Amino acid sequence: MMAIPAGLILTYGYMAGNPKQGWLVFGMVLGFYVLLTAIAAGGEFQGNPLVNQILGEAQPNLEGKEVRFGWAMTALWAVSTTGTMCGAVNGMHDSLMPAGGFATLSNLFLQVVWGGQGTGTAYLFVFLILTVFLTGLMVGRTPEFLGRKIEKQEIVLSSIVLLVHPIAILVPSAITLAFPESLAGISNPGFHGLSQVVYEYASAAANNGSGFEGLADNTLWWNLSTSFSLLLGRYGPIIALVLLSDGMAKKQPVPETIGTLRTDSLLFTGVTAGTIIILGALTFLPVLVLGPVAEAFNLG
Amino acid sequence: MTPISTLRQPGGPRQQRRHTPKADLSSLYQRALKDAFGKLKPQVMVKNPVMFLVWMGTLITALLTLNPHMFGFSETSAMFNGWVTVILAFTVLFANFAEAVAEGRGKAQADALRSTKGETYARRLLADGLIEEVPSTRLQRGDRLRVVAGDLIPADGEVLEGVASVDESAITGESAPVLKEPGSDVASSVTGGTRVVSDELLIRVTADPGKGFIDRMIALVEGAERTKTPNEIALTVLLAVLTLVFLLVVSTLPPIAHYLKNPVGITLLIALLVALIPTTIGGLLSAIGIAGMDRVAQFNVVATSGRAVEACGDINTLVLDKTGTITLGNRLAEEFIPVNGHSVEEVAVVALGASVFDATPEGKSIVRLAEKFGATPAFDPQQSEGVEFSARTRMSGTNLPDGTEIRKGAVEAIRGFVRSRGGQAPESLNGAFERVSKLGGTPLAVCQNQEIYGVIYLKDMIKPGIQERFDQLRRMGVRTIMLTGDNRITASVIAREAGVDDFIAEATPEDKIQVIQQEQAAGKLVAMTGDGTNDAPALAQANVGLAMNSGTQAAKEAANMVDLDSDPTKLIDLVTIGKQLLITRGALTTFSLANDIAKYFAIIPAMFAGAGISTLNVMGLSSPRSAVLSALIYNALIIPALIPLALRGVEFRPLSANQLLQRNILIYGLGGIAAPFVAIKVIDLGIAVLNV
Repeated sequence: MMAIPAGLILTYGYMAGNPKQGWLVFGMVLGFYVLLTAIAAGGEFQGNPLVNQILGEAQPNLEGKEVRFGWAMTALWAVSTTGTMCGAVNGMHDSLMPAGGFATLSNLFLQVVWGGQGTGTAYLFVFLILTVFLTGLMVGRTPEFLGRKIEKQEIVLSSIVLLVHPIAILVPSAITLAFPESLAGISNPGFHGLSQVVYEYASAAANNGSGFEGLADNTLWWNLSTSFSLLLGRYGPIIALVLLSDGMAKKQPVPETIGTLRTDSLLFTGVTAGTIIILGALTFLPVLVLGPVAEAFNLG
Repeated sequence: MTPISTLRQPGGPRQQRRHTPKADLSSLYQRALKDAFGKLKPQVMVKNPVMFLVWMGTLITALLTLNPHMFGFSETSAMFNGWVTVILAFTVLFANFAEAVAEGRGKAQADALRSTKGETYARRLLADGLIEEVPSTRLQRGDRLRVVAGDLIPADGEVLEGVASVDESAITGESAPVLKEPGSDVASSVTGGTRVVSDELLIRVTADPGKGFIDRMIALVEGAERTKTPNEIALTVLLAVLTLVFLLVVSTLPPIAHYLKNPVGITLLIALLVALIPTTIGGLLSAIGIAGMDRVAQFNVVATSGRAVEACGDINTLVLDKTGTITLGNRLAEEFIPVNGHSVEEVAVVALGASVFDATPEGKSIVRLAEKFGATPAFDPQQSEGVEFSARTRMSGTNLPDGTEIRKGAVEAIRGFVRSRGGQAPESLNGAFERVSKLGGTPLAVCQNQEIYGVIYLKDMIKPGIQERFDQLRRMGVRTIMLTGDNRITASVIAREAGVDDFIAEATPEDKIQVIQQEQAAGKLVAMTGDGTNDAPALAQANVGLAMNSGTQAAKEAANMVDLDSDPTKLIDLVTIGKQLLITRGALTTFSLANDIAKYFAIIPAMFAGAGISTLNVMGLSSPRSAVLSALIYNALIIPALIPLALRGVEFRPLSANQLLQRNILIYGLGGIAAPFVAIKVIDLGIAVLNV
């Protein structure tokens, strides 16, 4: 599940005739992956302070886990399965510590920490194009990506992808939470309940399929509304990206000079990571803060 | 009357360029302040989606100031809502002010231009030869006018008859009058608003009313014809989508907050929305564009569109004429080199004979040099006939009444001429030719009938400082190609000395187009300068064509920019202006987006104070109310703080793309993340001290 999306990043590098860029983007995604895994694993390792208080000793969180896998393997799998479009679980995500909820939710929001088979790389292109557009201006030229000028059409199509996620996740979450009794079916009210709802829609929109669980979600509302997120989250970006690549293929390539911004530098890759965080994650910062982050602060 | 001989030759070197007309900026800020309020009209605001949203927010918070519970739940007091309203109103006003200042500068410049134009009366020649007086605004293309000494030329036109000196200082700032006469490529076009100093001219109007040169410049700097450039449109789209994303984020918050039993009122939601949407760049975007056009106008260049200015930044290749751009306009005769056993004095006599009708500076310098050798024409010039130089024949000379033909010209051309008259080119001609070429000079052979007498060494002076400019261009990734009519050897010597990347010797006007098309076929953007009618197709073909004001009407119409000072080196400055425009836009966008991190950290903990997330208040802001106000005050104040930068443009250095990115990311990216943390904390401390 990870080999294909990870390999596709390198495939892109070779196909674009720039293996170095492939490796740099690979490294950047690996960085996100390691960071999120560390956050999730750290949370599990520290365990539930409330439980530990009762036990009187420091134990990792083992609730909802297959004991053969333990806290570390479960955290690793949780991050891997939500980052890619796998969706299989080896432990209940609902039972993860808030840090694990934060990491898994971030994965679903970003969809580039390896990402789906192909869609992960495609989403990376969107972020690369937006980064090129923002930073490319700063070198005093019309921004170019893969030798093609980034103009109105490219920006319209790639920023549509930025819009799809808030529409597919935030809007139905807000509607559901407006009627917590009749629609939501939340089992753990409060901050964790918010995470349950948002996770359900994020998983649908990211075409992941894993569940936070704990939701009474086999209802007409849940089935219909997640179908909406699922369809929009899958086909919206794909249509936009196909149009984008078609438009770019038709453009006349621009030759590269010393005045052209090179996209295979460490600096550019770092800036791309910053763009992914600011454009991709800040959108969901309020729900992350009110969900897992607030839950974590209120536990301790 | 000014003696014709001391008149400045069009396109010659300028000693005393001053940028005129000087705009009156004294009441700029008062006017801009007034305009800032005038722009609050919804139909004006809606053109800028980001600021329109802020404006709507201001109106809602204003209502909430009157009655905090107008839209249901509110945890904020009328007093607090009032403060938010004031800050938001200022945010909008600051953005409008930025645009108004930029426009005001343009308008001031336009007013200065307009005052030079004024309402003038023109003497129009009717078909029957009579003259009628009409206001200049009613002139049509094709009208024939008579202008005499003291008149303002009422419209752009072409000289049909007469020779006169014209003061063009109103548009070029050059005080020495320029000679205008018919039939010549460089001196036959006149510009409306300039004044005839001596003699009189018959001109044909070449522009429709309101479409003249100064009209175009006025329209452009005033911003009346300003249309958004492709890049500006793309950026506006991105900003609009980001605004929409944040609008979704904020509008989905109330049910979530309500579910968490931490309801949030409308005022705080509006505060969060305004803090998150890219107001900084949204407020400054149009000012940046207008200021860019204004910088071009201050350089005394008329651009027909903002698109052309932006394209300057993207230029890959500059196609430059050698003469006037790389070398000083005038080559001077340095030496006579006799061949075939003739003496220097004999060469001098023939060279003088070939140059008596040559009024170019080169011809005159040959005459001067010949006179030093005591040569006098061996014929009566009154009885003889001058043969004009043409790009086809590449030679000029004199036909004597007895049938003798004296010629001077490119060595190859003269060789052909002599052969056609049954003569033979001497062996020693090659030696002289090579010697001059290797010195980087232009060899001109002189002959009388079938006999070649010698070679004139015309010395080329490379413009001082031009080498460094080409070096800068190379570092920016711009390639320079020099075009010259010189032979290969001379061209290669000059090309090496000046430091151009490539050259094309013995170039014809067709070569220019060909070079441009070749480069464009490889996806490159090409800029060139030109002044002659035969440059017009190439100027039209180039992505950026800069015509000289002294050039022909055809050249000016084909080009997308015209340099009023007729200084071809300005093309290099235009590349810098174009790049600076894009860099400023990119830098402020990056800064604006990077600011969001700090603003989130200020507002979110304040908004959900009841959710136990006070640990996120990393800045240690004194109270939730003060945190929100501090973030909003920062958000408002950063706009006027950046107005000077938006108008002046980010400093441009001729560095490679990666070095530029490194520098700008450091300043505007990391700076954009760090600056608001510091500023918001400082404002918060201020609010805590004042205890409002």
